[in-house]
Amino acid sequence: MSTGVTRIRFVEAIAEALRLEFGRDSQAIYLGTPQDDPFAEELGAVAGSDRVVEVQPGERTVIARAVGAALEGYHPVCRLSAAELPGRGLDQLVEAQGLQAVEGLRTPVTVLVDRPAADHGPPGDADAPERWLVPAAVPTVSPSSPAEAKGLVAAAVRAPTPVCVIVDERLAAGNDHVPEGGHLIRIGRAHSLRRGSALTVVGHGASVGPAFRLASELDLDIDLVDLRSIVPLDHSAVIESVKRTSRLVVFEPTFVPSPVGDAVVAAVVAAAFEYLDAPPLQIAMGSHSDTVLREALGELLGY
Amino acid sequence: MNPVAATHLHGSHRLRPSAAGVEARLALLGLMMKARLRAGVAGGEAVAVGTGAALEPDDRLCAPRRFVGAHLAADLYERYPRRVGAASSAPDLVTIAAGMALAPGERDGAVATIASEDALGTDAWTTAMRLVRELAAPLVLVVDRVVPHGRPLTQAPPPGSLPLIGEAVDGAHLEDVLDAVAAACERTRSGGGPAVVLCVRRGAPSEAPFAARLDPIERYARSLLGAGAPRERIEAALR
Repeated sequence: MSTGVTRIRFVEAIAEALRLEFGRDSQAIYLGTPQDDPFAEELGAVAGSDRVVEVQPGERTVIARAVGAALEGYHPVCRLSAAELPGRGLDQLVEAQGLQAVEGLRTPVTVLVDRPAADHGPPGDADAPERWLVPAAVPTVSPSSPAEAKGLVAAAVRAPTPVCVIVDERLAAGNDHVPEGGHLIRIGRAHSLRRGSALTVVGHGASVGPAFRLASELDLDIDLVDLRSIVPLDHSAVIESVKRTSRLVVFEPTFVPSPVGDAVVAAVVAAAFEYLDAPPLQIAMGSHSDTVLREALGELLGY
Repeated sequence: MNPVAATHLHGSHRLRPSAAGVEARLALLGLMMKARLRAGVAGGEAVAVGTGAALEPDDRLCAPRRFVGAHLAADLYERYPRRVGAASSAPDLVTIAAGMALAPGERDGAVATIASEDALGTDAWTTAMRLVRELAAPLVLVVDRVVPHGRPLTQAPPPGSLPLIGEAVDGAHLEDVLDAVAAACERTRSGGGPAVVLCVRRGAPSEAPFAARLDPIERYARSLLGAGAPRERIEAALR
């Protein structure tokens, strides 16, 4: 239960969520190398070295090992970089999800997917894990702040299915207020950050903060929706918002068109086409987030 | 002489000497009935039946349904509460089976998986083999090899693809598969590390030898009776 707030960094919020979950759940284990992975080092010190399974750096079967451990009753957590994901067991994650969905087997694997802080402008960016995870329908959350990271990581560890958590390096250094103690955010529910009537802006991960700051700074009349979870998508939250505003911008932290933006636009077009006053728009955040969004919103809202 | 039984894989070990017990042979008979392994049928189900009968309740079976056969799947998977893959259509579950075998903590059984030889040689496969070998994981890998007509049954597996101790058997010979898998499981349960059983068979059942075209269930039931298995248990297995 939350008892107060404290100001910590994004990565510290993840570490705190893991510490709390490892304290609560004796079956939670971490697959990593303490020498190379701060989470492994800290969890080994806090929860015991037997709760950290050492895997060699570059081990290609790390996700298969995590899925196997999950099938044996553990709740494994592991960490990969986004570029490693396809070669290191995305297919095993998909299979694990199928085992849960069709055979009812618990496959609670949490994968922290690091997205490096590069310029994410060009389409087809290999560092964008949603490129693989969304078409594969692997449950994935994209936290936008330290508080979101803490709540979503805790929920991921408790989920009966594999859940990927995108850890965007652009957010890693930023700090913010985080509830102290246990903090849980339900996976699959979007979060309305700001209410407005002129335009719906949908974002996730690193794109939410810049959109929120811009809207606050310019006092824009926009409805800002943080998707939180990109698989599954909270369609109803977006559709309800568009029904109020009649216009939609998907503000992507990586590239456009993206699988997430495509899914959001498709859902809105299918369910609320008659409410739209203008074609939905996808904008990539790139490395100059404020400028890109400011220009686009200025054109749309006429300021 | 069985043309492939003498083909040893990595190392010079032969997994047996101990043969599976009467309980496993009665299980084999029951699974033959469930799989409808009637006259002339010697396909992948034969490998699955031999493997399934060798497992004990604490063992895990981690194999896609396609290696088990539609007739057999329900019974074989129901027989083992700790099964994975009953509804899976994946090409193989070898890496997940290796992950199960490598899970931390005390273990009271083996993890068995069935895969096609086609799956050998990928990066993930090679890494999984290296890990289970280095960490002495209790994994029994049953490889189903289908040899085209005109090729010798004694053909060796691709170099380095099966770096585990094991043996090759006639994949159409149910008792050979049963004995080899039972011995492999026994080895892994007692901490001997992973093992492989390469089941070699011809693709088309019509090419099975004359003896195999006789009803194998009836013949097997008679041989069990002759070996002293209780009649009522045999009749129960045949129901």
